[in-house]
Amino acid sequence: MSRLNPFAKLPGLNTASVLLVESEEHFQQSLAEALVEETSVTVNVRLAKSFPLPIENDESRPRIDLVVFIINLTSELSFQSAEASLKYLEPGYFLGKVCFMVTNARSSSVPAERLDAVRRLAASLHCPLLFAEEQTPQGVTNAAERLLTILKAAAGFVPFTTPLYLSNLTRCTLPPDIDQPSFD
Amino acid sequence: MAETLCLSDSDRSSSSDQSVPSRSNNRSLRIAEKERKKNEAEDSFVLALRYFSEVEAGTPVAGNDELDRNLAVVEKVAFSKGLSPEAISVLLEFAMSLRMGTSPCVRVLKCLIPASVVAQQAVVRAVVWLNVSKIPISTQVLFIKWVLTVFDLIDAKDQLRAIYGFIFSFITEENLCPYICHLLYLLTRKENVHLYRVRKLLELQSKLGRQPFLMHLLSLYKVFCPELVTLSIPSRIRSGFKNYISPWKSALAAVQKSNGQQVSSSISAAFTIKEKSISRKRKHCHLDLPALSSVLNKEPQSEQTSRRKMVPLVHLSSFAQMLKDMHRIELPAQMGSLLGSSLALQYLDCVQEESALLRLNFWLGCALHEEFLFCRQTSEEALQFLNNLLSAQHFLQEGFSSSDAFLYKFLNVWDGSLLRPQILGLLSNIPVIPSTQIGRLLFEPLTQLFFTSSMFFKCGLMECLNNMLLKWLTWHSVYALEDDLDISLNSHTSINITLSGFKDSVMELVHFVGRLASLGLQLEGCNTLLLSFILDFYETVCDTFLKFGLPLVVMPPPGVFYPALLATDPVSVDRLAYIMHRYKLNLTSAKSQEKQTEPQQAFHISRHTFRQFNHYLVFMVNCLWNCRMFHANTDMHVREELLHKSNVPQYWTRFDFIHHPAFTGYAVDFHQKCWPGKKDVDVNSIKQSKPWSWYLEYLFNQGFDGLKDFVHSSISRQVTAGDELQDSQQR
Amino acid sequence: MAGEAASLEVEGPLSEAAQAELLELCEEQFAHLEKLQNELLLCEPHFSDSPQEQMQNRLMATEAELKKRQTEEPQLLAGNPDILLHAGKEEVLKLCSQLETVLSCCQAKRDKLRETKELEQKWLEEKTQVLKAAKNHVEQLQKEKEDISVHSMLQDIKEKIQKMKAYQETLMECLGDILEKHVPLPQMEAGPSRRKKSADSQISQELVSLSEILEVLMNKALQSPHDPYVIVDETFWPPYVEMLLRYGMAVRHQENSFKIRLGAFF
Repeated sequence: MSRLNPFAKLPGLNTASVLLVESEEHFQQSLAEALVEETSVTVNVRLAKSFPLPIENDESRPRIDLVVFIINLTSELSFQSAEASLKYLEPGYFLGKVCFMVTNARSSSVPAERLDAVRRLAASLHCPLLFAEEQTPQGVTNAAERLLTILKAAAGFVPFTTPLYLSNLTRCTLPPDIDQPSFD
Repeated sequence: MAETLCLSDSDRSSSSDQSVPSRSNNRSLRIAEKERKKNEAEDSFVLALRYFSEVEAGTPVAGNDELDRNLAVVEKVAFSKGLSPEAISVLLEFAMSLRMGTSPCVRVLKCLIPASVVAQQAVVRAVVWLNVSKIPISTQVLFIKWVLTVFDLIDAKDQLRAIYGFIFSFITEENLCPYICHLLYLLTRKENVHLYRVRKLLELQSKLGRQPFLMHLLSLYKVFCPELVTLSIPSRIRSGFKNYISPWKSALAAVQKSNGQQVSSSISAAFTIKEKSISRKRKHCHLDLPALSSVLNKEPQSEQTSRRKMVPLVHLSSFAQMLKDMHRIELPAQMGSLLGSSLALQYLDCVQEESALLRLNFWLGCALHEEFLFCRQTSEEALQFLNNLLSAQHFLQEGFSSSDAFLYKFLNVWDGSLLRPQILGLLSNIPVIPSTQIGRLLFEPLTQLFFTSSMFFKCGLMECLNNMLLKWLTWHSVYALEDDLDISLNSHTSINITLSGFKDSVMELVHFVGRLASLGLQLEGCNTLLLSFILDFYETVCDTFLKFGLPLVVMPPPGVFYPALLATDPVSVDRLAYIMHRYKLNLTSAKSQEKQTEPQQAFHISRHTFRQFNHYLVFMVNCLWNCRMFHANTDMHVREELLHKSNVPQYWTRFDFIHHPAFTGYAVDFHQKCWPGKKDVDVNSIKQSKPWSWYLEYLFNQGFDGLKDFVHSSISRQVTAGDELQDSQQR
Repeated sequence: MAGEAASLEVEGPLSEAAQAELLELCEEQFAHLEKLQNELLLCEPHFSDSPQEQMQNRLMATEAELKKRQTEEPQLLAGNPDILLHAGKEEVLKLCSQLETVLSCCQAKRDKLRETKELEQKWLEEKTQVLKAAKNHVEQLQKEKEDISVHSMLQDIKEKIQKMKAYQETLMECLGDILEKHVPLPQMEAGPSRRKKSADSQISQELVSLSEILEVLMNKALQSPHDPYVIVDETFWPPYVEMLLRYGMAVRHQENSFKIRLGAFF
């Protein structure tokens, strides 16, 4: 099984590369467009539906600094696909170079268990879990901005910070059952 | 039957109302017939309505094409434009009377989407049918759910209230009970609370267990008549009436959107109450429907003549009028409408009516949950709603527990940008959280948001946490009684917290912000804007004792202190100097008070705090004044060789008032003013004693008041840093 | 690393010597990077998929980073004064733009505070008015209380009693009408069944109407509250008793099932 290795290639000069993985390909495109707006570094965005990645692209693919799994909460498939893709990543990625981005979390049709499952997954891998409002332009820009914050650290652009260091600060934790907090 | 209960339960006679529905039906059909000439498309709808109002009981359903066709027509209109009050009356009557059995009944109920309002009379009649005809329980539930959904759209509530006892009697039906409780909750007034009803509810509770819907209703009863309900009710009841997923909600929203009306969804209903009542009247005029508007017009009159002589809040138009009638104001049925009206808030604030706050809180919880947490589109409406909520909280100077509960949930799915100013505003209003809970409720979601978001979010959150701390401290200084360690944080919640518990929470918060600040500064390259927000926070923290009387002093972490001291801009250094000056005043005054009070009292500031303060102070004085920056026992670990290698001349003086990167500009400027002729600038010449004091004076005149205070309180010519150090060891 | 070097290069005209020095620095760093990269590729991936081990690895990596951080020394910038000047200039320009944002932020904050102050002042004004109005009201009430005479009070109460009586009267009448209309005596319905006519009429002659039952119950409850029970005899039509009990209007005696009383509605 060929796995994606975070250190297989040399980093490009002044370049950060991010891989957006989304089985439904709804949000990828607009997010990618927002990501490349960044001017302080060259942002390289690669898109994929799922892992494994096609071998024929191995040559042209740059060193991936951050893998983002986009999970649409209204679809069970979306979650399953992301979960199945994880095993195609070298464990080195889980030291700060993977993050999950959830869409449609504020929808009444989402079963609470699914969000919990995503949370559990992210927490067990110590990865950050971001929520995105993908339907408004402002939401997309904001999602891109937050990804760039992580990406810059993951690609080593932030002095005195390493990917692992940041991920220790941002990793998802399991929220308690707060249906109604009771202080009694 | 309905009439019976009307009479036995209400103050006024309703004799004339009995024939209203049939009359209004006929009338509506007449109007409809006129419209037919104008509009061919609506023709079939009018015919359909006529069919439903005239169809004989017992007409077969199976294979009845006419019924199918008419139902389809009605459904089409309902889901596209919504139904007029008259159409709703006709259809409801048809459905609930089971004229053609249950299956069309359910289908009709499901398409009852009001375009504007629902006539109260129709609902009352339907409730009567509930008992008379043999409607299956599931359909009864459906009907009550419908009433709950359109409750805000029912044009008056007086007759519904009059049959309170009648509605109450359905409570024994187990499947209906949760929904009936909800409806009763919305209708209950003080005069409805009777011992036999309380008894019935308690009996049900012993049968069904402590169900949240019963608890909610009982808690409202308890607020109205505490002497009747001796049961203890937890301060927060687990999620109350879970009725928010109703089949009509989205259709209703869609219809209202397409109609361009802001009439209903509970959010907008709350804030357009005045305009709504006007537009409603206008609409009735336009439709020429006296039956309904008479109910409306009658209302104020009957209120005048009834023995309580209450003035509904809606009828108040000015502040002066409110002052005049303050003792006889009646709160509206729709509590949410209070939030949008400044008069209502004034009233609420001065009467401190607990039932009103309870109901408002309850309504708010539902609204926030339904309309916001689980609503995909966030429009201007949501923005307006939250702004109104914020200003209401600001006015009442307290939060609502339901909005707190909502926030704790929302933080876990927030993207950090959606309605950011409003969410952060609400967040800064939450009351003190016990230190055992604060981590999981607040810190964990906020940490994740903070470190993955932009610098501006970081600044916003800092400001929000500063405001939160300020509010907590203000509460403390207002509510804490000197002898009583138990402080009630908020006049309307039953969360009591001891002084030491309060101190723990504040300490947790300050330490948390300290962590965020140190790491945030590091990640953002000590950005000046972020630093300024962080210093704002510490300006609050350093004064906890003197300004707010809380015997607690927490020093900033090194990750905040050193970046501020070594900052390249003079403003940050000046503010740090001010903060250190205030710390000194707080600590000295706490110290002297500690000596006066008995040792066993819980008034103690840890030695560690004093040590940390002295440590910082010594470093600061050494750095700015004594030119002894790299003194042996400081936090600066830089090897001597490295310093030599850097070729910086006299590196130990580099952060004094003259060479500090924040002040070199001033030093050069001063030098030029002092010795205008001199060609080569040697700022070291300022070090001589005369020019030095002039230079300080010059700096102080630039507006650096913090530095001025700091120098005056912590440095004087006689006291050197060494003495200060000894002083600290004595402590 | 690459980023730092590059950002220095961007800034304007540097002297050749300075540029050469910078380039050399970059080369050095890049060579170092390549060396590390090769080492990384050579070392066998010994990672495993078990979460336990991944956790261990994470801990080890974090500890290693911590150690590195604790022993790390600050690095000097390049010695060339030209480079230092450029770096310093860049730093100052950055500071300037940051200070500008600080300024606009402070101005916004000041405006906000001003608005808040105005609002609070308005509220304060209104609250003082409310207080004044409430005080006036209290005074007025007290005055009324003093003015009131025993006679007028008596008159007042008499009027109220009168009103209550009238109200009760209408209620009773209404109840009577409704019971008469909707809950008739069984004999009227018993008409169609002709076969048992004799037996039926015999019973129904002795039956009392629902309103009478209610009256007996109410009277008993008021007259002898210590013993509000009424004995159910054959004049009470059983379906009526059943109905009263079922809807909680009447309650059966705990020991004697022939006795009922009015539900406690007061």
